[in-house]
Amino acid sequence: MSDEPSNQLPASGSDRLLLTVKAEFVPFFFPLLQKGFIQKTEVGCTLRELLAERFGVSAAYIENRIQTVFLDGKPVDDMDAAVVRDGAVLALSSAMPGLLGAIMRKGGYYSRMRSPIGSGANGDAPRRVDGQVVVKLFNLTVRELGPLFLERGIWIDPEELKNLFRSRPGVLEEGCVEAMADGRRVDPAMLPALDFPGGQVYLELRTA
Amino acid sequence: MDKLLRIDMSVEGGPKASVDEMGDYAGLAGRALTSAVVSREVPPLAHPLSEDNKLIIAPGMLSGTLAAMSGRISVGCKSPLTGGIKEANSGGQASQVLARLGYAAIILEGKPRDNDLYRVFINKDGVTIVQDNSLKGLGNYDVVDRMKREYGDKIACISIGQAGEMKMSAASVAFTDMELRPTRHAGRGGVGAVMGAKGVKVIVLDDTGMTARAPKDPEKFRAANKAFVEGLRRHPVTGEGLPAFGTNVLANVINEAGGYPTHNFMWGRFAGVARISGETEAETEVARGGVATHGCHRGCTIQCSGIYMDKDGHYLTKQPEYETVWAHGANCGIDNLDAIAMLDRLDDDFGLDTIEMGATIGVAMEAGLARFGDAEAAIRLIREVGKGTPLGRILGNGAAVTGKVFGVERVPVVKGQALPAYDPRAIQGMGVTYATSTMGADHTAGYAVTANVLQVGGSVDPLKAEGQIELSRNLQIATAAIDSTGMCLFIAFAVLDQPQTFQALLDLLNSFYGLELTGDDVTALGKKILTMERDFNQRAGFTSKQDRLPEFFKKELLPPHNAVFLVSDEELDKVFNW
Repeated sequence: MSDEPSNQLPASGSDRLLLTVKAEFVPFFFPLLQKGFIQKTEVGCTLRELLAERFGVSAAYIENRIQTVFLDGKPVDDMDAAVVRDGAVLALSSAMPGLLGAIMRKGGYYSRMRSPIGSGANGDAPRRVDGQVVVKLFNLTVRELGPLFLERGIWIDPEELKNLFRSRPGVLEEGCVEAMADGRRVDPAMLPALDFPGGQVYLELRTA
Repeated sequence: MDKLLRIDMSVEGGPKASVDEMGDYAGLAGRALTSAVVSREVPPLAHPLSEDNKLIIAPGMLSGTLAAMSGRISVGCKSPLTGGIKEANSGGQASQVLARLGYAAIILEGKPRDNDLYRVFINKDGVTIVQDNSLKGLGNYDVVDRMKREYGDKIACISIGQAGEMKMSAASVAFTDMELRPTRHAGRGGVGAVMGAKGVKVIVLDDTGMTARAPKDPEKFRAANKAFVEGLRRHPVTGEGLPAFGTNVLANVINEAGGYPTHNFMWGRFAGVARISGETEAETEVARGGVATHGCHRGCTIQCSGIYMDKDGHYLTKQPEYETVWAHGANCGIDNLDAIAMLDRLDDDFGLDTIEMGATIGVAMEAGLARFGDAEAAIRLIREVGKGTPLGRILGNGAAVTGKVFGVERVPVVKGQALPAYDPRAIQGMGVTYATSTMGADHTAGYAVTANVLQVGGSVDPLKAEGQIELSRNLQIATAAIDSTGMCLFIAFAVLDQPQTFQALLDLLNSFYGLELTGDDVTALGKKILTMERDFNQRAGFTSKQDRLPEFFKKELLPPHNAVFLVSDEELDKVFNW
C-alpha cells in the first residue's frame, strides 16, 4: 500500500488518536477491521481502481489473494465492472473454506449457486467525487492488509474503540508504548476512560 | 480391514461378538458400507429404536493407513430423527485405530433384554463385552475418564452421553480426539439414540501391537501421499485459511452475503457477528493460552480445529466450529463466545448434535421459552436436556418436535432434521441439497466440489434453471464417494483448484488397493450409494413430498436481500434423474 492520499487526515477539531505499539500488539486492533472502518477517498471508480490506486494494494495481491469480495452485501465477480459509490460497504477476504467459500469466490465455478443475491456490475460509473467507503477485512486479509490500513489511519465509531479498549483491561499498558490524543500525550492505561466527543475517531498506529 | 465385527445385544445370557467375512460387502468402507448394510439388513419399516435396527460404525477406505487426512469414520443406521437412512461421520482417533485392528465395521445388532448398560473393549486379542451399570447417567467426559483409568491412555473411545441413554433424537455418538477428550461427534440424525437403544455406553479401542495398514505398492503410495500433502499445503484454504482461523472463518462472509440465519431464520445478518467470528475466536484462543491451529486426529495436515480456554485459562472445550458457533450464536441471537463455548462443551458432554440443539433452542426462543440473546437461558435449557426433565426430553428430540409441542410455525427442518448455517433463500443451490438429500437437511451432503474436475454428469449450463439442480446432484454424488474414503471433506477445495491433487487422491487409493480407479469410477460409487439410500427411504415410506423445504422459505422474505427460495418442486424432483 502507498502512503497516499492525504485526504485521510481528519478535519480540524476531530478526535485523532495516534498510538505507538509493540509489533506483536497490532492484532489487538483486528476486531475493529472485521466490523468495518471508514476510508475517506475519491469514489466513483471501479473496485480494482479503488484497491490499486486509492488504497495502494498490489495488482498481484488483488488478483491472487483477494478471492472473495462483497460490495454492498453482494458478491463481486468482476472487479473491473463493479463501481464503488460514496457510502459503499466493501468486504475483502482471502479464499474461504467449504462449499459456501467456493460459491462466494469471485468468478468461481459455483457462483451460480448463490443466485438470486446477484453479483457483478452495478450500473454505469458515476462521477468521481470525494467520498467515503466502509471497509471490512476478513480471513487472512485482516492479518495481511490490516496493519497497513492501521498505519495509514482508519475512521471508526468511538464506541467501538472504547469497547475494544475495555475488552481486555490491563493489556494496553503492556502493548502500547505511547498514546497521543489530538496531539496531547496520554497514559495508555487511561485509554479506556478517554472520551471522544466527535462522531468518529481517526486512529493511526505506529509500531515501536 | 477385511472383517466385520458383529455384536448381537439380544443373546440370552449377554451380548455375543462374532467376526464375519466381508462377503458381498468386500471393497466397501465408510458411508458406502454403512448404507449398504442398512439398506440390505435393516427392515425399512422397523422402529429406529427397535431390535431390528442396526448401528454400523465403519472407518473409511484409507483409514488406518499413513495417508494424510484419512481419519473420518461413518456411523449408519435408520435414523430416529428422520425415519430414513442415516450416515453421520466424525473425526477423532477411532477411525485409524479400528482400521488398524483390522475391522471394516462394528455392527451393533438386536437389543438387550434388560436395561443394563455395556462397555465393549476391542484390542488385537479380541473383544470383551462387560455389563457396567456404573456408567449409567455419566456424561461423555466422565465416561472417557473412567475408561482411561481402566485401560490406560493409549486408547480411543466411542461413547454416548446422557442424551443417547435417554434415546433422544438429537443424540450423538462421541469419538475421542488426540488428547483423549470426547470432542468429535457423529452428530446428525440421532445415531446416539440408536447406540443407547443397543445398551452400549462405550466402545474402547486399543491398537497396541498393531501397525499401519500396508499398501499394495508402497513406493507409489508414498509418492502419492507426498503429492497429496503438498497440494493441501499449497492451497490457500487448506494450507492457510483453515489452519489460521478454522471453519468459523466463514461467519463474517456468510453474514456479509446475507445468508447467515439469525433469530431462528428470521434474518440473514447478525449484528454481533464480529464478536463470534473465526477471526475473533482464534485471537481469543491464542490470547488465553489455547490453540488456534490443531488437528482432530493424527495425520491431519489441515489443522482446522483448536482448543478453547475459559477466561481463567483453563480448558473448556475444543474450538467450536462454524456450524456450532452459528447454531448457538446468531441463530439464538447470542454474541458471547464464552457462552457458545460452554454450550458446545455441554453438547459434547451430554452427547448432543450442536446443529440440532442450536436450531431447537432457536425454535424454543421463538416459542417464548427464552428471550433471543439470553445466553444464560440457552445454557439452562441445554442443562434441562442433560437432566432429562420433561422439558429437556422435548428439546432433546429436536427442532421439529419442539416446534410441534410449542406451536411454532417457523421450524427450519427437512425430513425432521434441522437446517445448518446457510439460509437457502440466499444460497439457492444449497437449498436444493437440503431439500433432496437422503439424510435430511445436511450441508455436507453436497459438499465435495468436484464437478469441474470429474465432469460428473457432463457440463452444466449456468444460465438454465436446471443448473442449480445439476450442481446439487453432482455435489451429492461426489460427496457420497468421498464419505466412503475416510478422507476429511475439507480436502475437496484443494482438489477443486488443483487437478494434480485430485489425481494424488486417486493414486493413493489405487496404490493402496492395487486398483486403477478413474474419476468415472468415483462417480459410479457415489451414484451407487445414493441409489441405495434413496431406495431405502422409499421403502421406509418417503415420497417426493419429503424432498421439500418448509413453506416459509418460499413465502417469507429474507432481509437484507429480501429473497425467497425459488426452485420449483418440479425441478427438485429431477435431482436424482440420472
